[in-house]
Amino acid sequence: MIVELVFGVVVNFIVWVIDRLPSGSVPDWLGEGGYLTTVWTSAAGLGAWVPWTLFTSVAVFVMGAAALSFLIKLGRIILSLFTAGGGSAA
Amino acid sequence: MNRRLTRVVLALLMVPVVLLASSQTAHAANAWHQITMQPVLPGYPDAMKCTANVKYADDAQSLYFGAGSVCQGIPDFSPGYLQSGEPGSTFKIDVRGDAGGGSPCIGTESGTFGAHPNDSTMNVVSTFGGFHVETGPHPLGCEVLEVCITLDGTVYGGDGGDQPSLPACAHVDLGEPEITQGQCIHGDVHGIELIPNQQQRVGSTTVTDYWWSVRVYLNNNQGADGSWDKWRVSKSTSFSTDSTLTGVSTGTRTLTFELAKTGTATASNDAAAKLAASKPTSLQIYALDQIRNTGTNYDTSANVIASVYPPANPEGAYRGLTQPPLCRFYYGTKLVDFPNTSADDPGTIDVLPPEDEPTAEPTVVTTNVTPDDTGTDNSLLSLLAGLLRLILAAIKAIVGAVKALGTAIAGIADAILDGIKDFFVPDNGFMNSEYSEIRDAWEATTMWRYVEEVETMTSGNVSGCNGVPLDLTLAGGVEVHQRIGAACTGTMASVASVVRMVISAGIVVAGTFAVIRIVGAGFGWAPGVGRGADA
Repeated sequence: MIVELVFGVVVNFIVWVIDRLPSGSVPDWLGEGGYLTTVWTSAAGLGAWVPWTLFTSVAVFVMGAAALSFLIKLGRIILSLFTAGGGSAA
Repeated sequence: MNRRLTRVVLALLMVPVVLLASSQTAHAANAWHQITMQPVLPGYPDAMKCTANVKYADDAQSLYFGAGSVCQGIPDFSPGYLQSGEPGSTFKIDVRGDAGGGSPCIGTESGTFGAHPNDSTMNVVSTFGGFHVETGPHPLGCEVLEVCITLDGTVYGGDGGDQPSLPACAHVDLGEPEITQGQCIHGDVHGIELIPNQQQRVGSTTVTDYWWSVRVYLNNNQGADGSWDKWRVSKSTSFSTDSTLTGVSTGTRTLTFELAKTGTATASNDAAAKLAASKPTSLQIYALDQIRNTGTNYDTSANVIASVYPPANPEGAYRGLTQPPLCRFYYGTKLVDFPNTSADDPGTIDVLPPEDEPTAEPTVVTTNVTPDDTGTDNSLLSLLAGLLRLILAAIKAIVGAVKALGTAIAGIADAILDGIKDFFVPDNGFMNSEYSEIRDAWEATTMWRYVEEVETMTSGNVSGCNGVPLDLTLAGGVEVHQRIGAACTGTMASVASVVRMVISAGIVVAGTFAVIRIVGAGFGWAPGVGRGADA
């Protein structure tokens, strides 16, 4: 009951923040047949030179590391509130 | 410079180390565990204490109870007064567990308590065990979670009357069972023969019977002295149009032969002609006790150890025998059905008592009170024994009342704990519901649509080698059609391969450094790896 209450408040807050984000459609240059797709398709022809698949995999991995780092830092900031006046995660 | 080089080498070494570490899987062998169950007799909460040694059988289809398991009761001062758990009385074992994916598995076994040297009219001590409780067949075995024992109250006097005990259960954690890999025939087939046979009946002038014999010569290293033995297994039967020949036993292995096709029998009455016409053209040999067990997927085709007669490719035809990963014993649901043999039935390989059972006997408490069944007619001794019996009965009643009070208090404490748990632990599905709420909100945003478009765009094949198309019309109407960076064949392909390898290494190293820096930043650590002059 307590956990449900706390989670409910947190989730509602997160949803409220997300609802503030724009919810329009993507621009034409990003959609199917757009400029970016054309560039990407052309770049795909250079697959013999550039390991695109490895590149995107590493990029995703780095982004995941960034998300993990953010969560770690957030956790440290929250924990620092309970150190009786000591410490800072900033 | 040296430090930077060291960092690069360390970063590159991380990749195989991580891969090796993640590929290791711990395998714990099935081991003995000691469990304790305390059956409750009416009026006597702690009347008995049963200690048992249990372990998974090697086929993980049953739970083995060691022969050294013991039940000990409270002092029994009156023959006929407390007989539950006595040698000669009966009991029932219930085993419950998980057969994988939440599918339950259960097993039940009844037995009779055996004698123990410490058992007397003063103390109930009895032995049990030396049996296994079947919980299968299940392909992944049965992960045992609970073991219960119920004592039959054969001659139980006192307040409870003649009735069995309440089931006493032990919540056990034996871990997931490990199905022991069966022995393979670590050898090879070095010969297959089809032998024509004819038989002339006594008193007859013509050959009337004919048949084929199959002989398989195996090199096998299962000999008692570890040397290589040669086996010759054979099976002869009369067949002219039959297509199968089953049930050939090698003693410890059972092979099944299948004639995929036989020749066409002639209309001739000459057995020799029939024999020649019925010569098998294809022969398959199965070793049904070596069906590969790969979890929920079974592959019977891997058991074809020789597929063609005569073998067209002797080296490649016998893989089923010599590849240990393919030789796991077959348990679980029956896969194929050969009515004339039991070779296709699920096997058990550990029905005999294991020899490595640890000593499980608890400390048996004895009470040095002279029993009253000595046969001596001594009125003073009988009077003292009766008096002692009354005193001890009164003590037992007081102890029982105190324990009942303790049980009631414990019940209140449990109720309070349950209430606290209900107060904090969310309902099932609550977290999924909250997660779905966030996900739905996120998927309605423009940011998610950006991500979705990029994901769709990059999910296609990006390994082309045709280069970037360049189409131009120069002054004077000269058209130029080129593909910049095309490297599908020739020297350009070789150069592209080298460049691709260098770029790949650069991406891996740069990505590794980036991850170290980013994650380190989360901990407030600012490593200088991959940077230039910070060392």
